[in-house]
Amino acid sequence: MKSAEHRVLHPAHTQAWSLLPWYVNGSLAEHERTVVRAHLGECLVCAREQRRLETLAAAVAGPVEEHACTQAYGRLAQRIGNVPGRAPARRPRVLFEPLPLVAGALLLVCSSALVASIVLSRAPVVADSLQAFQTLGSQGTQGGGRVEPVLRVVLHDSSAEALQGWLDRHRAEVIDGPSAIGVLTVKIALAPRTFDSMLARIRADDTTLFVEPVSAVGMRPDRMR
Amino acid sequence: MTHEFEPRVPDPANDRDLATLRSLRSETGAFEALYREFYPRLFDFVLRIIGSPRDVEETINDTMLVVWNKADEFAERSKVSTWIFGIAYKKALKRLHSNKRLAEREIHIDVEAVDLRDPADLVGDDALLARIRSAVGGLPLAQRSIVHLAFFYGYTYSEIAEIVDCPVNTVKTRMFYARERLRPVLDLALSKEKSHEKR
Repeated sequence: MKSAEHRVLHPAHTQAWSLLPWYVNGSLAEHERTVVRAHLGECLVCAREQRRLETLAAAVAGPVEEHACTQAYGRLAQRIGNVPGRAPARRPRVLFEPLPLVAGALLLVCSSALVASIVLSRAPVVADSLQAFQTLGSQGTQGGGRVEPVLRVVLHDSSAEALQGWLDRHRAEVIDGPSAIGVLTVKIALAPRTFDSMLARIRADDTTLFVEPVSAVGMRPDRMR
Repeated sequence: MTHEFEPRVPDPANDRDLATLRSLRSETGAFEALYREFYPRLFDFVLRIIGSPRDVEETINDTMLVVWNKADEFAERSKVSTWIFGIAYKKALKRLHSNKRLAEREIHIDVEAVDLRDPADLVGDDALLARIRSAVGGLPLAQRSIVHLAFFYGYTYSEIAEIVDCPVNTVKTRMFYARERLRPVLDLALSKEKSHEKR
């Protein structure tokens, strides 16, 4: 065998030597691959270099990591400004946010009920006489011993059909609302002793999301629950 | 700079990238798809050039901004990925220089000498591979980039020349010197392998 020094100067060796990295990574054109393969069969120096480069390739390749690029893309999309398609980092705007709306409605109704109960608890109690007194949310008595509890109501379905059905079922009348957040103020004409059962019936109605009495004209506050 | 172009070999990945590039501004989500396709590949490449994860994302975004602005000018003289990697290479170098970290990095590389301890000191193949990776990391930037482009991404020498914007012979020369510098640690690995085989 000729010496390595001699082979280093040999044109075929020089060519194969310079192409070896790309022989190892598999990107050589067919004719170059043939030349290198033929040379490797007769050159121990290049064969050893091939093994070195295979070791190098294995080391460099390493593990491929997953990269989270969503936020990075969001920042680029903001820089560009008018990329077709969505910018993932931005939260899409929605016109109707159901959860905060319902929470707001509940808060409003609860605070109204609390204010009403405080007002009523300070009002003079006329035991069983059902003496009429007026509150801001009530419409007064109709006479004949009937009372008109005023309720705040929120329905699951705020459509006109659903509302009408609900009013018919409970013989109720809208006196205010619905508000921007869907709260209705209704009055229901009934005999005073049926108030609790009326309230229970409304609460049992699947279409009722929330109901709370604001006042019941002529009724004691402690009978409104 | 001139390159010899070989007959075009069908490349489904490049055809897909090309179709995406062509519809970048007209099709919803096309740019995002291209971005998601290239982000992980560019991340590794840019990280190996600038050496610090801190600036990688911004360098990739600078790159993809050029892709967005120049997509119409892409002339198909190379693969889409080669073109994008070429832009990324230039952007990474620019960032490296602008941060004035290049000199610092090169000093660090000189200090980071190739470890030539006895093979018996090495613990397992992982340690050996880590040693080689460290030696590659110690190469000068021009050589290191070429080693990564060849062995991590599998690019041809003409594609590498396109990416780093230099003649093919320069690529081969840089690779030659990189191999010279890496030879001691690679020989160490081979001798270790041989001792394993004897056992």
